[in-house]
Amino acid sequence: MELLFLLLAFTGGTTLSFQQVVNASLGLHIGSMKSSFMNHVVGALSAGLLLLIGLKTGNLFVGKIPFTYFLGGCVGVLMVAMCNFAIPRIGMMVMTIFITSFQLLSSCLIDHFGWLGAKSIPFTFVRGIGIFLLVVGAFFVFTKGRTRAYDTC
Amino acid sequence: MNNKSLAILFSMLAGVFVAVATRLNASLGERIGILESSFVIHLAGALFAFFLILLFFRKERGVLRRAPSKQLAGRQDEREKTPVYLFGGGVLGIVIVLCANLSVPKLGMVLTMGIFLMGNLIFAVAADHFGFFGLPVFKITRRRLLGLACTALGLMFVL
Repeated sequence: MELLFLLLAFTGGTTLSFQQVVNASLGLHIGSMKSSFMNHVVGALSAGLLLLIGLKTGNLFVGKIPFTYFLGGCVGVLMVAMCNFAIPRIGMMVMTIFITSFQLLSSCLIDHFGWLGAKSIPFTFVRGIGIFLLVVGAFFVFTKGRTRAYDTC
Repeated sequence: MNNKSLAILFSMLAGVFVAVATRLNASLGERIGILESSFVIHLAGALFAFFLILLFFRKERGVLRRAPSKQLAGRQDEREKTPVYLFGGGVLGIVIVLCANLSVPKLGMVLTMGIFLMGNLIFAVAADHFGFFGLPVFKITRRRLLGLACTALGLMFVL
């Protein structure tokens, strides 16, 4: 059963970079912030359409959800703006490595302390080694020549 | 603080934001359902981006008026239409959020982010090697294979 979720996460990862390339190309045409806007509009429309034709996975109108849970989308938009600021100043590679390492580090904190509605998964020494290797791997892939002509976000 | 260190600070923050956003989305998904949370997230993001454009990105205003960047103007005919499929990125966003929402509660943040990174790297290396979407070709090097191997090894430790 866990293998299924591993596969799902892998699919998510590849789709993510696919989307980044598409978004960045759109950004070249209509501007990067508007590209992010259109991306979210199309996303909301297609999800809304799926909901309308009856593909329900839960209940949209449950009460008492912490307000912060709704901020995920806004945080994503802010991230795009930050990347757009960072890329011309420090370059793709440096930015990607910083993003990757801090993404993993904060994931560790979230898992360890069970923040934001997570169940706690304690940090171990072995996990630390794993994360170090992940960052080193990303460093090797991203530091020889340019990897992609477009931004990652 | 100069521009460069601000850019580095922003990159670090962006990384933290990715993790926070993914976790928030997953928590929302657990409460109201994954497709519903995907809808809400994209709606909130669209509204927020709309206000950001209104307030800070005046140059990008106008839904149909294009603002081709210098990079594009150098490469392509400026009159060329924006291909419609480029607007399909949002559909991919749904797939990503669904995948993340399903795996985060089962695998935890570190493992999910690690596998996301692995998929990302493999795609990047493949896209460079074959030159997807007309991007310039960068052949696979031994250094890159070493990087992928390192990532895979790291994942095994986290598992």
